[in-house]
Amino acid sequence: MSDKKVLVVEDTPDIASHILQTLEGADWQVVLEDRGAKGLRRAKTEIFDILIFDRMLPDAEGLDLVEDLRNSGIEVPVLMLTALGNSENKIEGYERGADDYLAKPFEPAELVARVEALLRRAKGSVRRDLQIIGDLEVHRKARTAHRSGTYLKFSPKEFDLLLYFIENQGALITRDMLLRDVWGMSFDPGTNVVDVNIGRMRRKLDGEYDLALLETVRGLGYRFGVIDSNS
Amino acid sequence: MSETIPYRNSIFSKLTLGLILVPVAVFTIITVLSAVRTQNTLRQEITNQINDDVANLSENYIDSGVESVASAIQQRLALSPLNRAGAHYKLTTQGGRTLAGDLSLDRNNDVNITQAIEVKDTEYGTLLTRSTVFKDGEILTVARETKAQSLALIASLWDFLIGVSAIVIMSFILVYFSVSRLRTRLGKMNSIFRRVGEGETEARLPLGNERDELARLSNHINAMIARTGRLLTLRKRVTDQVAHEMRSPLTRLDASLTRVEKQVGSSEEIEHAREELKHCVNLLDGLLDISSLDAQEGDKRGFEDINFTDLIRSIVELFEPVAEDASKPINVELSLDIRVSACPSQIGRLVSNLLDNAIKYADENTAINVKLIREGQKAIFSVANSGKPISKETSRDIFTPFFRNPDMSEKKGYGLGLALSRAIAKRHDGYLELEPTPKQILFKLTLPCL
Repeated sequence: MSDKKVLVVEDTPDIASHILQTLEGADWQVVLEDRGAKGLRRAKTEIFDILIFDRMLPDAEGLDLVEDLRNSGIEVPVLMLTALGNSENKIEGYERGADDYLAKPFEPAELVARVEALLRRAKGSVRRDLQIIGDLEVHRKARTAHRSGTYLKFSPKEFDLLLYFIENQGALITRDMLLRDVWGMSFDPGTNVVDVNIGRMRRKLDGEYDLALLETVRGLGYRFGVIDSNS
Repeated sequence: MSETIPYRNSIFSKLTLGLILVPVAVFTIITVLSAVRTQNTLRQEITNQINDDVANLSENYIDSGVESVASAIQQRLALSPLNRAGAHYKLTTQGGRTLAGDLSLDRNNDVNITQAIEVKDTEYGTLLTRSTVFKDGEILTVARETKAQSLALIASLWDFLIGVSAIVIMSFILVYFSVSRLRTRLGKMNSIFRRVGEGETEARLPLGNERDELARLSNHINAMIARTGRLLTLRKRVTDQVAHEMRSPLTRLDASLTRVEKQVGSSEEIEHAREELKHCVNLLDGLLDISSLDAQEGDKRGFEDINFTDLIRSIVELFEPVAEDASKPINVELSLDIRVSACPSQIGRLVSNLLDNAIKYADENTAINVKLIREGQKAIFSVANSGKPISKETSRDIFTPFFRNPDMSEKKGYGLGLALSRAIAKRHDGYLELEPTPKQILFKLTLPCL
């Protein structure tokens, strides 16, 4: 039995089972509720790592549940997974206490990535000054990076990207996450700008080495630091 | 809670000033007129007394001769000054020798000797005097002091002044208190309207015990705000419902695709279906965004005081690698620390849209010029790229949803970006326009500065 536990409040049965399969596939223990009141009671009485709420539930608005929880002093990270996906809805969601906001329809892998990121954020990561991943050596304070002893010349933003990848080593990082956490932008610039920026950084990081540290996850984002022993 | 207008701009300052100044002016005019009239009456009264004296003494002269006149004068002067009421006399012979009287005044050479005139006397102050010439050339001069009358006039003017001041002060106090109350009540109305204008449709005017016109107006205002609130809620509910009804089946469709993919493995068909699905969602988002932005015009919720210069710089930084890869470098010219009140994600989206378009549509190997300047109270942000000039017809329609420039139809897009950008500009009390230039395509965003 997994030790990562998530509560999902979703009223549409087939979407609920889609979420259930997706998260169970990623080693999460999923508790499902189809009504807001029942979900809220569970969230208040049981311990979960993450809560996932729909917004337009038959008996409640998901954001009211978030406010209720926050007012009761429960600070478990909440991901809103909802059909209300335009920018007005998202702004409203963050203002009212949601930690992340994902619009339906969603990529299963993106949902997993977001939930894992929330969990990492909640646990907090140990920030060591010196990070060594394979032959990569990164000094956080000095802001220097070397690979196999060779100095890698990154721009400040590229170095920020590298640090972000190191902090989230092994996890799927979506473009949305990079925009939000590295560039501080809560909107989608709509084109391939993130890919181009990552491309530049990657040429410096992996260009001249056999072992690639940054891997592209097609259609979704990136994964850093999973070193394939075969390569 | 209440929004106060400075006194110098307040309608009530003008009203109070008017209510005070008009009575003061009217009272002053009345006072001046009545003082003039009183003075004339008093003067006439003294003249009559002088005439009576002259007549009496003349009768004496006719009846008993000049000695009788002299003794009559002596008698009168011997009476107490109170009864004399400031009367003075002089009787002289034709040669100028004084026969009787207490006046030093000499009118013997006066041409208008028989007319009543006012003279200044060193001994008795201002005198009203008249003389008459007897048969044998004697001159009788009768004079009366005007001091008492002047004092009476001044005293009555003082009474008048005190009365007027009392009225002015009392009316000022009355006006001041009622005006202060009115100012407070109207200030509350103003602040409620401001809050409603900023999107706070739960704001209501407090209803007191008054039953006056303003109380009724407050009722109407509250009813109107409630109705506006209901309409806005309804608008949002409809938009949300549309989103829900459209996205839920798309989500189920996407889930089915995932299941199919699991069963039969990934295929180009499934990828294609996914792309179409994404297209639907993006289109829906764009349309809902435009509609909600239109409805949010003037609604300042989610606005922050942001450094526009920094925001633009960081977005340019994000786009720079894309521009360089496309050999269309970005030239940046940003005035420092221009601050605006804005929703950062919306304004960021607008700036990204303009940059994205510029990179997409600029001619190969030409630079894109990004500029931010301050002009008075306005921040002006422009993005210019070289390219085929946009025709007049096209520039008229370019901000319309789904409109695509026929000259650029080979480029990918939904035709919503500029419509969305303009809606964002409007929500921020600004405007986005296409500047007509012969050689380049220049979009200009104007926003109010902080």
